[in-house]
Amino acid sequence: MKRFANIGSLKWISRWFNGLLPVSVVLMALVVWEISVYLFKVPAWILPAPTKVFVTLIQDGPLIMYHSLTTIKESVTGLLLATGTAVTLAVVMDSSRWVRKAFYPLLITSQTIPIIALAPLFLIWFGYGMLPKVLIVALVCFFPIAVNVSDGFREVNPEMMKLMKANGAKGRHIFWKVKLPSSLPFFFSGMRIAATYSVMGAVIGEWLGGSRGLGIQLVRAAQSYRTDLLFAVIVVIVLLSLLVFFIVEMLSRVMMPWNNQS
Amino acid sequence: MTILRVNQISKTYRAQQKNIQALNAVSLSIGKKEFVSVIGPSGCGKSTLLNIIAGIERPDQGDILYMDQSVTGKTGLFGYMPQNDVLMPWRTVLDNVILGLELKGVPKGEARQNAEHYLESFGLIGFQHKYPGSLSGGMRQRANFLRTVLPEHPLLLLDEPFGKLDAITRRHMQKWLMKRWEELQVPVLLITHDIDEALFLSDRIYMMSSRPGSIKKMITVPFDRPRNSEIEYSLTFMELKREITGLLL
Repeated sequence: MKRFANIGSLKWISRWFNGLLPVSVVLMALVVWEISVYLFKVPAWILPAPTKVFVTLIQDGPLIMYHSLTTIKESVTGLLLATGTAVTLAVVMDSSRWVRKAFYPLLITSQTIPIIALAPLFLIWFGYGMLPKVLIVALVCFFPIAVNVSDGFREVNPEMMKLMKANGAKGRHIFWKVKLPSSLPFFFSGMRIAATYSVMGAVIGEWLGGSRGLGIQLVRAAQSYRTDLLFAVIVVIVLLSLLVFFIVEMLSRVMMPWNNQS
Repeated sequence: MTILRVNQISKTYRAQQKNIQALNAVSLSIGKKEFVSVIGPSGCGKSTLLNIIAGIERPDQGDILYMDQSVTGKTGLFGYMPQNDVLMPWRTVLDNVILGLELKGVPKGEARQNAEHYLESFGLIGFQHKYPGSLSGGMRQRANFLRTVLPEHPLLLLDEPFGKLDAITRRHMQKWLMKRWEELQVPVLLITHDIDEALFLSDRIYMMSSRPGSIKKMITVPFDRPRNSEIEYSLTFMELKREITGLLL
């Protein structure tokens, strides 16, 4: 028992250490950056010192917050929309081999259309409100989820299917009791990718036009040579993306408790 | 009294533009309260035979008669224990073993209560709320067997249930299975390639030839029940083992 306890605490320490590693790398880079800016007298509009960015982050906090809320709303709505449609399409594709054959290549092709070309089109069609941004987020996030879930449905253990059939299971039993739960890990790997894309998608959408959001703030900061604000907004975008990722990660732990045991 | 009759089953697969005959006119029967084994070299089509009886696959020729009625291609009638335990990793042990009951339409709560009575004799007590990922190979097969037994099917089909276990665990499991079977009094059809296992457990043994699989011979095992492991050192056991080995090699 004692040995196990020791191993447990060691694990805990090594986990902390693993978390600390990237943080210390970033901290070191920041120190080098800060020193170089002062040493080489780089003008703030080219490269502001990290401390300056931090001060801006605090000073312009309320405004950044105001724009962040819009971006968060668009990202989350888009991600949810993508999840819904992606899972639905995966289920439909799973229903027959022909449907899958018809849709799967289209799915791949849809992903090759550059989002930067599609975004202005969305603005023309849907105006400058939230809708085109939500659609862009959905479009970006849709693909990884749909492909992963669709593959997940196909990777079901064939012996499990045999067992179900031998027990007289119908299609809906097989779907709810086997396919859905066994595709959950696939779903979440798609969601993890989608989560990191979602905030970026919203920012790109805003970048191209609108009145609120971090993308707008980025454009305005760049146009007025507020490089410090630009950096502050980038920091917020990164933090928001990580937050969405973290929420997805937590959800996956709650929904797949069997992965946490053993 | 015969409860299941396998009547002249033939099956041919088509793989890579070649016809591969898996089974050729296989016939056998299982009596009420009888433990019957089918033994044969790997690839002789014994698993195909089991799949056909379970209704998962259809034979090209022949039929399966249960109580003199054709049940060819019908699923859900018999208990089916797959070779790999295929416990669902997302279900707790308890929820895994009630799968068959659930598919029969028994409400979950009732099914769980029903299963709880068996946990002790199946050596699963204390593990019912764990996920199968944390179970040993022997435990997983005991859970697999409980899942097969719980719906109280009139016949159990076991597909090399201990083939993947280590020799010592397999030995324990065979003795354990014997005990459970003597309590349950349900007919069993066991597929195996282990001669000792077949002799130790069965009332009768069907020997299959390699592909295309057909029944070479049927042997009646004369030991009384309840059996213990002493029979394995008896002369009769040795002689039967020699006969089967000779026929299979």
